[in-house]
Amino acid sequence: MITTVAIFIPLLGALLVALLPDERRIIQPVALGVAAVPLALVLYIYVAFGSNLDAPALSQSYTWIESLGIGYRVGLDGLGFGMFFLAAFLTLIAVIAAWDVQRNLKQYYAILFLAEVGMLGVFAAQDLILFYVFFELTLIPMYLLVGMWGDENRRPAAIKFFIYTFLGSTIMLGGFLTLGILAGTFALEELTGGGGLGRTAQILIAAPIIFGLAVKVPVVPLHSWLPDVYLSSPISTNVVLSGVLPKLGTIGILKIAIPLLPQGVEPYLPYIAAFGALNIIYGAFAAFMQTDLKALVAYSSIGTLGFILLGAASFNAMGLNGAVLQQVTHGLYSALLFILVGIIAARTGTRRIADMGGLALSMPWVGGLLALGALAAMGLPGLAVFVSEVMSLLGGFDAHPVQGTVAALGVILSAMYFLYMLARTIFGPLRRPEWQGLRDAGPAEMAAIVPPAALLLILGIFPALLVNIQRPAVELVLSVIGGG
Amino acid sequence: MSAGQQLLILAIPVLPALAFFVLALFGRLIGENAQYVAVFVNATAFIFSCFALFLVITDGPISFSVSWIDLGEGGSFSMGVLIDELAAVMIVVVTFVSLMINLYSGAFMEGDSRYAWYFAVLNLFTASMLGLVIAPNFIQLYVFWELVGLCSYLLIGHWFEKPAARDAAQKAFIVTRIGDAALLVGILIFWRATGTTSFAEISQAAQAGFIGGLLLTAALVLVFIGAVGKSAQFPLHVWLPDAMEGPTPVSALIHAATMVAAGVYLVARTYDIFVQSPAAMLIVAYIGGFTALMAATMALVKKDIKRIIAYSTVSQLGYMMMALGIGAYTAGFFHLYNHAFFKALLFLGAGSIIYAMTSYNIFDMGGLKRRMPITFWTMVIAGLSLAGIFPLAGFWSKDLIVAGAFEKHYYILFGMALVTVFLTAFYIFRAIFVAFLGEPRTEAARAAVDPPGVMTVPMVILAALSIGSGWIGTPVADLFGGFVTPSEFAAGVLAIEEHAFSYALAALSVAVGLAGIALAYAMYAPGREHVAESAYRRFRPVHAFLDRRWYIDDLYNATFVRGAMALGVAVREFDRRGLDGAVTGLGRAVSWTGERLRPLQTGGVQNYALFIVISVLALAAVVLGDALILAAGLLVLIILGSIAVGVRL
Repeated sequence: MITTVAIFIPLLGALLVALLPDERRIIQPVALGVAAVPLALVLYIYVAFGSNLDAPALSQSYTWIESLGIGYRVGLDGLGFGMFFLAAFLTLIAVIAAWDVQRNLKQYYAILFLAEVGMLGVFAAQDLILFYVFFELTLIPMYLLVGMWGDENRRPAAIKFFIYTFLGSTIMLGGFLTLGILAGTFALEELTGGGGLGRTAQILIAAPIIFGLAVKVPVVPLHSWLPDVYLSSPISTNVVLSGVLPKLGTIGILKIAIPLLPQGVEPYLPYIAAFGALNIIYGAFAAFMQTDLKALVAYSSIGTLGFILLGAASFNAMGLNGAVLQQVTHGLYSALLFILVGIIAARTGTRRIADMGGLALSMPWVGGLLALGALAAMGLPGLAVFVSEVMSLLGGFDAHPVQGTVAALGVILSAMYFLYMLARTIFGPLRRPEWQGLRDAGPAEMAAIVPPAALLLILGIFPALLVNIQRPAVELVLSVIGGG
Repeated sequence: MSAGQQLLILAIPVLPALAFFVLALFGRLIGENAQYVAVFVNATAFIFSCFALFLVITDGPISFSVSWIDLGEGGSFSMGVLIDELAAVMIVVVTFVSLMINLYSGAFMEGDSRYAWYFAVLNLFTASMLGLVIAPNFIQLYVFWELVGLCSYLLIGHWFEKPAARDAAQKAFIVTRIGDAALLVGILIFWRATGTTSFAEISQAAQAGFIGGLLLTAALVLVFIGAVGKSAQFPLHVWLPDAMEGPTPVSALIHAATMVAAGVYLVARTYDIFVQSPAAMLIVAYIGGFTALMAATMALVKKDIKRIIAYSTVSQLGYMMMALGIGAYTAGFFHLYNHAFFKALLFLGAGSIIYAMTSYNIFDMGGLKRRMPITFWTMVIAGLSLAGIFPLAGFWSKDLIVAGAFEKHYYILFGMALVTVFLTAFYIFRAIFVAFLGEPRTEAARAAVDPPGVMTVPMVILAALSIGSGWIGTPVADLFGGFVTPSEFAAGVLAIEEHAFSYALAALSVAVGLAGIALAYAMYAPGREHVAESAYRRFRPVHAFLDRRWYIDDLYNATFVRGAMALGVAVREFDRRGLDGAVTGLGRAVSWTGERLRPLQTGGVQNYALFIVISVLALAAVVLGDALILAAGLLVLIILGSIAVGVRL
């Protein structure tokens, strides 16, 4: 019941916000309050049920159509918990970071909360059809957020985003339907292990599902919607767009494709690992010479997502845990960096890396946290991304040495482009004399950037805080796929 | 050991780490008092380290750990403390030099705009270095290995508004990161083959045959490449001379005494694994020997006093690597220990000169002997120690290495080491003679004075150690050699035999060192400028070759740096024009087809959106009849509708 409440509270919140007068000083506190509720519930769940996520209080199961085995089934497990938390967390951050949304703030928040329903739902869904419904439920709000509040290129970007991911999810739905109808149920629990399907059937069904999810991640070369959308989005939308949305794809691989079709996914593993390595290397090289700071962060995001694929393809405890964790850590760092890019662009009036320089002199907090985010992204120990990357690498290398080696070389590339970026943005002499007086992050901005940075640090030092939660679920997956 | 003792040992790295957080977060409040916090913390850590050393001497190695990530059968990582004889000496050296540097920095960095931040990072460095030294496994080592690299980056770039400092910091991080990536792959190989990252367990697994042959050599060479990056060995040495853009006390601590020695320490730490691959040992030995010689030649012609000392560091680290490679384990680590003191002192001496006259160029100096007597005499002591002149500290360890190469029949390495002794004595006394003797060449040099006491006291202490630190490892009473020894296993594999102290070899290496000093005097003593000038004219191409660092940096710039950038531009353009262009083209083709089929669809994406909502709704309403879902769906529809009305796309 708690889970259901957490998922649907934002829906009420959307209604509430929509009814309020369109004034920032009224709407923003209300929206903050609304966004805080799911987060508070998740934290309560963590404290009260951390070691016992399959407690009855957290799950619900109603059958809608007996004959087809479709039902409203939600519940939390170790695979989805981290992202369930992150979705609630980043929505709150996005609410705070909506300072660049100049018009129609209440519509903005209402749509953001609708998206939150979908995001939370995806990570809690225990039924294929329900998963799909929530999956699609995020699509329209995200499309609207980009299409209405984005910059001057927003319309083509939003349309591209919509068509790409709609196509992907439709193909995925085809796989879901085939699987569910052949197996006679759509409940994840009953489908685990293949739902009685043979190897060939599993292989055939796995293909469209993986493909559909790959568009969402996105996996190179299906990523060409991403730069346009990320570049056009308002900063606040970027937070959820980069922090949560890609994980709709990866959670599908980790929570659906692998446990439901273990024999079907298995032949694809070397390729999934290879695409993971490709993402890492391609993303890094594409980021390397970007002239736009936001584009650099966008491509870096594509790169680090590759570690999730690599870990997922390992089929061992180390790699799978790394992949599950990387979903969260990637979200933290990318959200942090996008907000900082937004702050810098707003202050200096440019996103061109070549036009910046010396920003840490006038904005030590903004510059310092940009450095922290960049260092996190390049996998520096002490910050959470390192833990998940190294676990993904250890597991991935164990199963696929060649792909693992290529992926490991990515740590050189990410260091290169991030340091190159830092040197030209925050370090060096102050580029323009009038930037001497640039205001450092204000209270609202600090409230948006300090929490993700702090979480990166806390999880970097104490990764067991999340790893212990996800470990039993990963062990369950391992027992299904018979790996070790 | 008792819980109290464990707590005390844990405090050694944790205290500086806490100091980092306090200074980083509350630096503005603490202001000038940052140095007192730092000195207090470092002094405490030093005292505790001495206590740890005492415990190791009396009770043997200290070892305990806590779980960090635990996946049960899937593997687990711990963060632990392993203080054996090797680590015990190392933590004492690290905390001691760190204390000296924190003292010295208080005055040197006075008035700096990021004073508290400087001390914050310096303490983070000390904490990370200690975490590295006490690591019992590769994962913990890697964590702190990267963190010391981060501190190095931040401290080289402390004056980041200077483009040279900014670029040097970036270069240092990227070049060492190449080594780190190799180290990481090495760790991956060990993990895959043995399922563990603990040094001891990997060694046992290798002995049991779980990893061996070419794979073991490959893994070790990869680990060694990590060490090559950190310890600035050829071919990844290029970052260290540039790193001299950082504040000089930083150069003394990080780029002379401690962090750059981490590569040597890594090889020593994993020695039981290394000895199982003779090929890997040979590579270590020859890379070390070659680097020692190469860097010494580069130091011959430099004018910047810090760069001369930096090349000297690269060269001396080469000695240590060579020693480990040829099986002279104790000698290699003994040299690391002695080097820490005299090299830190050389940097602090350079720092006082810079403090006095803000120039790094030795030809801007001159006549400093009279103006800065303390600096002069301490520098001479450090120089003699570096040159390996009896009976100073450097002599004892350097002699062990040179003699070791001879006795183990590595005659090529012996020859290289001996030439390096000559070059070392020459370049360091060239710098000392030019800077301190004769008449001041500039106004600044004329006005130079010794720095305040808070800076000279650490220099005098280090000078005393530069003379005496080696006396615990003399043939009369070889305390050091009896304490830090290779494990029984390693000694067995290497078939180490006792060699009596060779007076002939010792005399030879001292004679060669004195010859180097004599040549430096003949060329650079006051009034002999014409000798150096004519030598320069005669050997101009050689001079250019050395001064351009053997053209290695130029080669890297022309190939790797340019290549990576070109590839970056290529991928960027491919992504935007090639890939995205293709997708857009495909989209156009589809929409062209769509035009033909116009009657079938209405166009806008909003309609698709509406279609999804309505169909989900319809599905819920018709098939499921669930009132709740219907209500929720309607709500969605109403909100979307109101928004669509409220805002026009």
